[in-house]
Amino acid sequence: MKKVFFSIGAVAALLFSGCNKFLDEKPQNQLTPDQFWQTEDDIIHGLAGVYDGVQASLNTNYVYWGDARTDNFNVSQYGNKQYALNGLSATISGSDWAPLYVTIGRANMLLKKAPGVKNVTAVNEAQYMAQALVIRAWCYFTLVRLWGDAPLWLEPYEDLHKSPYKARTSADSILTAVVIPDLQKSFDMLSADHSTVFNINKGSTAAMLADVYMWRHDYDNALKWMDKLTALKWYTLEPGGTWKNLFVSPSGSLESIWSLSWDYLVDGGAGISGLIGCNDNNSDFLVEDTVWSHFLLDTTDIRGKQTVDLKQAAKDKVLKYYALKLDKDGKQVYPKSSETNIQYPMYRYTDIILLRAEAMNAKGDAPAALTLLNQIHTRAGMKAFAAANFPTKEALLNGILRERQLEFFCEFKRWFDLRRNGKVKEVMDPLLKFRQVDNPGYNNDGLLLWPVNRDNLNANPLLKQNPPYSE
Amino acid sequence: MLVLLLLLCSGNINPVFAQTGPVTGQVLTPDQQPFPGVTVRIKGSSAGATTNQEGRFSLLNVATDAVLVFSAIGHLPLEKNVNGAKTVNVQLQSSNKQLDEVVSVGYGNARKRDLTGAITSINQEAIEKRQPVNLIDALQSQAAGVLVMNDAGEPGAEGSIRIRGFSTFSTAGNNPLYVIDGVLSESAGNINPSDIQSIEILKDAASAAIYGSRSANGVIIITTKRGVEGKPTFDARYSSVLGKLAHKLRQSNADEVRLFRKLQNPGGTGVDVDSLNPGFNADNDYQDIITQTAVRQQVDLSMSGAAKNANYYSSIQYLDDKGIVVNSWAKTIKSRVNTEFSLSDKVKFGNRFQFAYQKKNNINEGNTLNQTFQRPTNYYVWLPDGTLAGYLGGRRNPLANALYETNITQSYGGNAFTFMEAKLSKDLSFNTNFNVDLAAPHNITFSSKLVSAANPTSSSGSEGFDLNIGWQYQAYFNYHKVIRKDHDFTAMAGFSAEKYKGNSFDIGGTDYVSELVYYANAYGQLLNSKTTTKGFVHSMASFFGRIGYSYKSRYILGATLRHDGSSRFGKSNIWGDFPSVSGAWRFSDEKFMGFARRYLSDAKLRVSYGINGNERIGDYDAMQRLTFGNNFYNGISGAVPTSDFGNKDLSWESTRDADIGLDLSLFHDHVTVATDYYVKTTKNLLYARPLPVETGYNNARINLGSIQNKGFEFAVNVLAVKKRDFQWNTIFNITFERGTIKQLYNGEQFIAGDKWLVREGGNLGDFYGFHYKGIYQYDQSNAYNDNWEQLTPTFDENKKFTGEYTIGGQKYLGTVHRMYGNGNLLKGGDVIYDNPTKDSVIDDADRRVIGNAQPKFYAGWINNLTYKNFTLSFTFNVQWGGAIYNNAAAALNNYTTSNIIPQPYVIYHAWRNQGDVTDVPRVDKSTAWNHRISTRYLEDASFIRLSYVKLMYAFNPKMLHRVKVKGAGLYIYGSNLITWTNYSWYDPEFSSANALQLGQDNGRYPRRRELGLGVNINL
Repeated sequence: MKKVFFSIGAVAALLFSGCNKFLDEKPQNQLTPDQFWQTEDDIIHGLAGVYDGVQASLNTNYVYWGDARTDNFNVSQYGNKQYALNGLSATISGSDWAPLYVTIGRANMLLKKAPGVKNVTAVNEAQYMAQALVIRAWCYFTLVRLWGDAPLWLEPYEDLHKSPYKARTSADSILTAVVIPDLQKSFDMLSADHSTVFNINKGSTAAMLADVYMWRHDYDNALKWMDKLTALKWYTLEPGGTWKNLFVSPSGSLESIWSLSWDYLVDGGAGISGLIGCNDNNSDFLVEDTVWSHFLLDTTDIRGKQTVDLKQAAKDKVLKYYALKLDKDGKQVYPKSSETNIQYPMYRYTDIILLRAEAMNAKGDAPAALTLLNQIHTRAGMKAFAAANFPTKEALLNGILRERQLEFFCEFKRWFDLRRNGKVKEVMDPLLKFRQVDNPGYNNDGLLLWPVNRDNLNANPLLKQNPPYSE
Repeated sequence: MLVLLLLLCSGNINPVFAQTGPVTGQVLTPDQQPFPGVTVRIKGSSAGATTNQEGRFSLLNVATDAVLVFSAIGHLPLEKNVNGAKTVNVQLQSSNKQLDEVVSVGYGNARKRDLTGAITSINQEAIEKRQPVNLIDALQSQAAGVLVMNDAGEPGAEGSIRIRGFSTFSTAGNNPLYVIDGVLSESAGNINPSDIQSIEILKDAASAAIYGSRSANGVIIITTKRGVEGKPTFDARYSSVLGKLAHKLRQSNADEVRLFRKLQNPGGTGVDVDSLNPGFNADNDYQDIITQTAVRQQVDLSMSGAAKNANYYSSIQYLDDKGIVVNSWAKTIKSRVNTEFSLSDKVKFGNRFQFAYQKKNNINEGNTLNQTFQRPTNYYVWLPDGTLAGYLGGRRNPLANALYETNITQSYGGNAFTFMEAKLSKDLSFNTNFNVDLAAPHNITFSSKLVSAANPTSSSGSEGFDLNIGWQYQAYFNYHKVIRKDHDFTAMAGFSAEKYKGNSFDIGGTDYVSELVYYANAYGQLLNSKTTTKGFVHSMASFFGRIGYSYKSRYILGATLRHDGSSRFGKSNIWGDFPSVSGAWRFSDEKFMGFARRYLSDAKLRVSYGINGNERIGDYDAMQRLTFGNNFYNGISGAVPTSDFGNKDLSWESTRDADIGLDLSLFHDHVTVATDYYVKTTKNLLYARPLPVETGYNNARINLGSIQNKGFEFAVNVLAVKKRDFQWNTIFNITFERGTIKQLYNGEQFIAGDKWLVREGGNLGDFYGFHYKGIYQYDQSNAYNDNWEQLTPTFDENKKFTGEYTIGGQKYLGTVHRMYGNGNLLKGGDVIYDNPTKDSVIDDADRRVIGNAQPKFYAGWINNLTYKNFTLSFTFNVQWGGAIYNNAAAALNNYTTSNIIPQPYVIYHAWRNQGDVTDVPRVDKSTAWNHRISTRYLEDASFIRLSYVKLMYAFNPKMLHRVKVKGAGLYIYGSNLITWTNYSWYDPEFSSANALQLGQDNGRYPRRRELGLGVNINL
């Protein structure tokens, strides 16, 4: 008997020591951070993850954030009317800022880990770091424009023992202390490589800086960065005849500055297709009359039939991002929502030209502004404007904004154009009252911001809703 | 084991008496069936025998004046004087006295008499009275403290089992542990209920603690059948059960659809008024169209037997189940082989093999059942040429989707278990076993062009394979020693290790070459975004032991300890300890209880305390991880952190359970009572704490927080009538449970889903929303005094508003306040919600807990009546209290989508004009503020159900003997026959997939009402 007990004890002791090893299991199809961030390839894959965050952020929000609240779109019976009635709520699609912060988190991780990776040339490392910095700056710029003040994270969250809660930092200090310096620094870090329009380079960085300064009405600095962009001599306007290339094959156009790459085989269908036109979903949005009737009536504008589907009387199809493909009745054939590739344009040279026009006009140089405006207006096949068309500075601004509306229809610009120039109330209130007689309109400046999503509020007790939104 | 012991006994027959002779006879069950395995003993001697398959026994050398004692588990022992007879035939009566029954307690057995914990046993007979399809059917209402939610309806569905309430936040973490013939398992889906010999439910911590880390939600021990000595026996059973939709729900007909269109669009001509368009001029009863008579056919064959050194049991079951929704079906084959061999008196080994194959087609409830209610009834289902219509007006054709959307899963599963038992000495035995488990489901989904919403239409689908394999090894010693007759010592110590590994892949594609081939090679286009592979490994190691002491079965003490290690936890917290102590006092054996002995045959007080663990979390939640495959950019696969933050300090969740119980046996065991009170507290609660999204993560699994459950359980078993021809046995059990969340991380409450509040002092299943108080009668009714009490506007004889308000009959002269929702001034027809914050907006701050999903109590009442050859069994099942959020109705009635038509009541009662008194808001589309989560859709989930009825007729064995049949029976069977409930959708009983989101009915697959016939034959 003693022997038995002894051998049991011996076996148990042996087992026990072997157990800790037995119980050490690593994930099978994932990696732990200590296994990652070892080689240059790891940085490249990490960076792809950062860009992927931008794709996810804009997948559907491209329309919600850029156009849904503007006079570009009304809402169809299949969509949420609240966009068209200025009735955003804390649960509405687009109110969740999580995808932007996920992107920021990935960028922060890369910024922290990439310098520790061995055998990477300083030039390459700077390229990777700068791209992550610019994407992070773009995220904050977007956050600030949509929600105003925002929590600021410049380091990855890595330790559960540290508080994950941060209150909001003022929009102004985010722009001044983070966005602008990071973009400037990145411009210097980036090389002259501009082989792909899908990645951040010096051009897109300068364009973003110009955009940020325009947002702040700092026209001198904006012009300075537009000059730096022009000085790269990388960009020229796409000729009117091949204007469509900007959307269906941006990498083949010298006008493209930054577009998001999309491949439905790996990314899934581009999300906005379900909102603005595909063959298996009713669109959530309808082209608003002001744009529709211009495109329908003014047939000299080459952009009309290449932007919206004028054969769809329901006004519910935007064909801008699809190559021309007609059925036997001459109607555009749309892809399935799950099979759409939309190379979301982010910046293109026209944007810079019209921003410059806006800046020149603001600085009082109407002739220069008009020349720039006509550059774009005539490319679209239309007769140049005369100075007499715009008797006042305000009229010229409105002319520039109108040109931008037609040129950049559904390109993530209109809402920011209206905001930047304080035109939201002026443009939207009559339309809102037309849509709904007793609509209160933009009676409160707080409505210019988006509500913070309820889930975001729930998860962070330091956040307060943007007044007057309450839910 | 029992057989073996009996065999040993029967070998010891010893001729002692002078006047002796052989005696033979037959023993019958209470239902007049031959009774195998009955012990027949000569009183006052160790000689005896066991009955064979025909219930026959023979004894040599029986004294003419001897007394034979017949005994069998679950039956009253019977004594019969031989009186010189050569043949003694007897019939045994069933007994409630199960105290001498041996029950499985985990790594060993114990006499029921010596149990110190709260254990409920369910024997084979109780299971067979149900005609169960799965374990859920077999267990429902059988035990106090065990809430069984039956999803019976969908072929192949399983339902859920909760023992003593919810102890944690994750659904998997609330499932009990199953131990099938000694093998620990997280599910018992493959078990064939006909193979079950007995089930033991270990409810309190002390009983379950021997299973340590996975026992926090109780343990269900299942023992399968084995052969008994005698000629081989062959059982055949066949049943055919028809089912139909228990009740239909009233849906808006075509006229009501048109009325609704007019209401929503008063000026316009209305939609769909073209009287010549076949597309909009049908009037369908979709529920009729997509339901059918369900047919379930079941064949069970089993063979068993035993010889001196071996016994075997083998069975095969075929189940063909056609559900009530067209094209929903499941076919299942299960087979089992149990064998045991004795190599010598001391060494025994055996195998248990189980194999199951299932092929089933699942119906997508969202695309069929929900469309049934959402799709306007005036839309056509068939085109004029007789073909099925596809997607129309943003709505799917439920029939087309049921028929042309395929989701076929073929599962192959099996396990092989080998064990050896060795008696090392008189007191010490050694058991060791090894089990291999394999599951390999193959899933195919296919969506035909016909139901495609795309234009041009295209087919799409996926194919997936899983391969899960696991092994488990156990070794343990059992020691049993009786010292000086009264002191009974037991001890057990052991070790186990296990590892589970899984791999899976899914391939998605579109544009199939043909609609006849569903495999991935038929894809015209492979979808990388829907093509994934996964893998996991999970390993555990454990050391465990138990000691017990019993003095004359009067004072009983026990203690267990388990030391468990799991690969799921942080490096520093791999190991956890789970101890328990328990004691029992059989006070009926005390002298001072002598006065009560006439009524009270047995009384035992039990007290136990133990700590159980829970480790059912993600396999790698303790690690920061990077994932890839779904994050491509510009041709490069991005590597990104997972949205869950890995917590390297992750450790065991422990549940402390104190239990006090009382077992009584009264009136010669005609009445037995078991009652328990417990307090079960979960500490270091494992839950996903939401992280602010600004960190880039969604949540982190942490160990913080606590939940407490208190409960009272009462079960009584009464043998109400016991006569020769008539017996009535009734069992009633009832359970009261109250759960409270005691502690959360930093005390932070959070909202799960969009309508459940998880907070300290609350309970799981607390619905969070608004109190729905009614509808503003007039625009002017939106008027409040300073204290936010509603004012009543006054109108003159022309129904013109006078500009004056009253409150409580008094004219109101103060400031009139107005209420806003989403920035809109609320007007006539808008909803009045309770405004506890007393301000001018209805917003999140006005939300309150508006109800709880968990029942206040639940009960089961089982009756078995036997009259001559007839046996009638029926079960009532009660759940009382608790609420259901009727999301199926809420989704219909929110007006936002033109082609989702509300319920008829809503169409008729919606507010239309100033002055309407109603409880349904106006039908305007963009009035989201009138459709908040509120008490409007919160319904009482209470129900009483006649859940099972079975009437059986057993043929007389004598008559059967002539046709060489040992036994035969015929029965009719019904389930879900009558339900009393106020719940308005299909059925208030359903399981919830998420423990944090209980009690939401999204339009579940409806339960069937069943009626069937069956026949049993033993050869």
